[in-house]
Amino acid sequence: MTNLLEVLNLHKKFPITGSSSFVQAINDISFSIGTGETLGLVGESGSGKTTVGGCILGLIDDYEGSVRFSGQQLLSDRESRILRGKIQMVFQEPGESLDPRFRIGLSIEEPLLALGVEVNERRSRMLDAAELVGLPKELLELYPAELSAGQQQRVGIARAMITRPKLIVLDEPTSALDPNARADIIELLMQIQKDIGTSYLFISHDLSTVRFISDRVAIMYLGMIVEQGDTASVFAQPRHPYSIGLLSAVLLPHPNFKFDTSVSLAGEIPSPINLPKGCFLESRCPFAIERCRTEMPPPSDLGGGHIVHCFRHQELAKRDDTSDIFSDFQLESERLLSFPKSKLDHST
Amino acid sequence: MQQRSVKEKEPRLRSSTVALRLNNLGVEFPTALGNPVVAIRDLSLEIDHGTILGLVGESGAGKTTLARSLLNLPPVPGRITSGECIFDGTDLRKLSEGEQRKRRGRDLSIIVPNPRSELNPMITVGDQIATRAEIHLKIDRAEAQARALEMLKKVQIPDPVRRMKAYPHELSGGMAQRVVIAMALVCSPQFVISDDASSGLDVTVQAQILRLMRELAMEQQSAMLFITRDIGIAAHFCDQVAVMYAGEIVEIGTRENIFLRPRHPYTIMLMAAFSHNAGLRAQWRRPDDQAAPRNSQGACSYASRCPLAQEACRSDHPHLRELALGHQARCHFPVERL
Repeated sequence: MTNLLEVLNLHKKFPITGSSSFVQAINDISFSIGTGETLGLVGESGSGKTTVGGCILGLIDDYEGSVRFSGQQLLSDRESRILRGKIQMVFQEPGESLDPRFRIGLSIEEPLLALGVEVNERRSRMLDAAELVGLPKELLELYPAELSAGQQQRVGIARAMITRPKLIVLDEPTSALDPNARADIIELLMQIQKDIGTSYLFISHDLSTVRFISDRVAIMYLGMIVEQGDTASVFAQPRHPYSIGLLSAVLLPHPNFKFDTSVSLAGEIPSPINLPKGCFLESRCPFAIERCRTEMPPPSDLGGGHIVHCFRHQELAKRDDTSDIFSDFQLESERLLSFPKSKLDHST
Repeated sequence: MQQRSVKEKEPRLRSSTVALRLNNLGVEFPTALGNPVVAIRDLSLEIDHGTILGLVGESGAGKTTLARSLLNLPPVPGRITSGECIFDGTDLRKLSEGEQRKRRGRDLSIIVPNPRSELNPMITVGDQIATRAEIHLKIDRAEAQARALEMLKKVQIPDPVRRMKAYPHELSGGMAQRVVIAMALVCSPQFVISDDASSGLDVTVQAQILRLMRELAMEQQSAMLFITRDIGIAAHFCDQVAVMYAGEIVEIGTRENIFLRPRHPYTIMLMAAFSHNAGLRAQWRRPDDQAAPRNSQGACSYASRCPLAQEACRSDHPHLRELALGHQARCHFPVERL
């Protein structure tokens, strides 16, 4: 798989007004996304997920490190603005990210105005985009407030797809939605990827969704990717104490499926101002040793692109908490919830 | 057309230590067109001491309206049209407004999803917690302060002595939520409502808060109504689960019955939405699926969306029926499993 996006040693600091200190939002992040691939970027609020998305889109500049897209260095100037139609974004709150006074059709075609596309083509591409995301034509004349949250998020996706992007940054696209609308949007995104081959950076804190939509996953903590790798391997064999803690907090809707581990993280994510010299998780980690306080653990490559930043990852690997409850849960729900065979003729 | 002059008699989960009993609650919202929207329809339930009842359902099902109506504070402009809410032997709605206010916050407490909107930004959190204890428990200021500090310790706020003097904006979301929980529990209420109280929190913090609420509820033998959109929380954290749809409870039972032996097509559809299995989801939805019509008089509220709907479902509104011990569903044709 060729890499569509390559992020190398990204750092971003935000100065604090009236003070000489900085918010260290991103601390040395490297990852890549292949064509037609989904990378799940997971972490708690304040871990810097959205800032990473902003740097890729060029919405945030003055970062250190390099962001390469299709082999080209992205800069925060005109040149990269032309590229920007190739990278799009879908936001968390679909209702708030649409202009309440634009009709739906106009909201969808608006990105083409910036690219200087003439009116007839705008119109026809808008209709195509609406069809792609399954928005009925009648809705195009309505205003955002007249749509359900799920429909609004379809508009968000249509608006992103209309410039024919290669990469979409999806920033918590489903967290504001009801379970059914969420599942619909996830299915739609996966269908679009299958048909068109768009790559996704899927930013989320919903681990069970990430488990099923992502090819690879990167777990962020305080501006660092503490662990990344193939989704199946990270979820079945998490090596970083933070990943283990995150997974153990996942509540699957079945009383018998619980991530079987004794690891639980105390406290909350500390402030990203004046970060400690050693490992950022040291204050919350049940496995911390003296060395963690003074030294930042370097990346260890476990093979197959599975990278972890932890001094004790080898000991953690021996722990017997490595079954993939997510696939077990899927099998069980298939058994439990499948439609009764005798009723397969949908009575009307 | 069905005429139901006799009040619907519904079998209930048996117990001797009922903390709160709700009988035939109805809540309506007036509309400009004249026909009011029925937000809660003839809803009855019981919650025992030391029990957490999870209430799940999609937005618009009436979960928050139910929570507020239990305190006799239906969301404006909603109106309670029928029913009684028996708590501690009396119907809350029959008490004077002054008596009701004494009960709320002391015996009945609610925790809301956005902790910051609940806290006064101008008053330290210690003072806010202490004030509630002082007023409701009629204790002096020093004692109330001591109680507030004790509560902050119980909700595991780091450095509680210092946090007593903190203002709400100085706290993270997780800590503000802990403060709101401390405030809700400071008078040891017998009945606590949590209205999606953990939804804005990060997963690791959410896990801590859920554990904490459960421990405190058990310790005080409170009854708890735990409203959530995340059925995963209900599966791991609640003793009993009620599934709400269009202002009614469509299925209720022990956690094991609901999650291991779901019978109502809506419950199954909701669970399938969490299964990450498109095929499974499609089986439980009709191609023309859309939002529920309200006021579906004389029909099952779910009939228009139900893949198993028969003629009876469109002509007869089903009652909540007991299917097994600790398991009821409102369905003419509850799904059978082999």
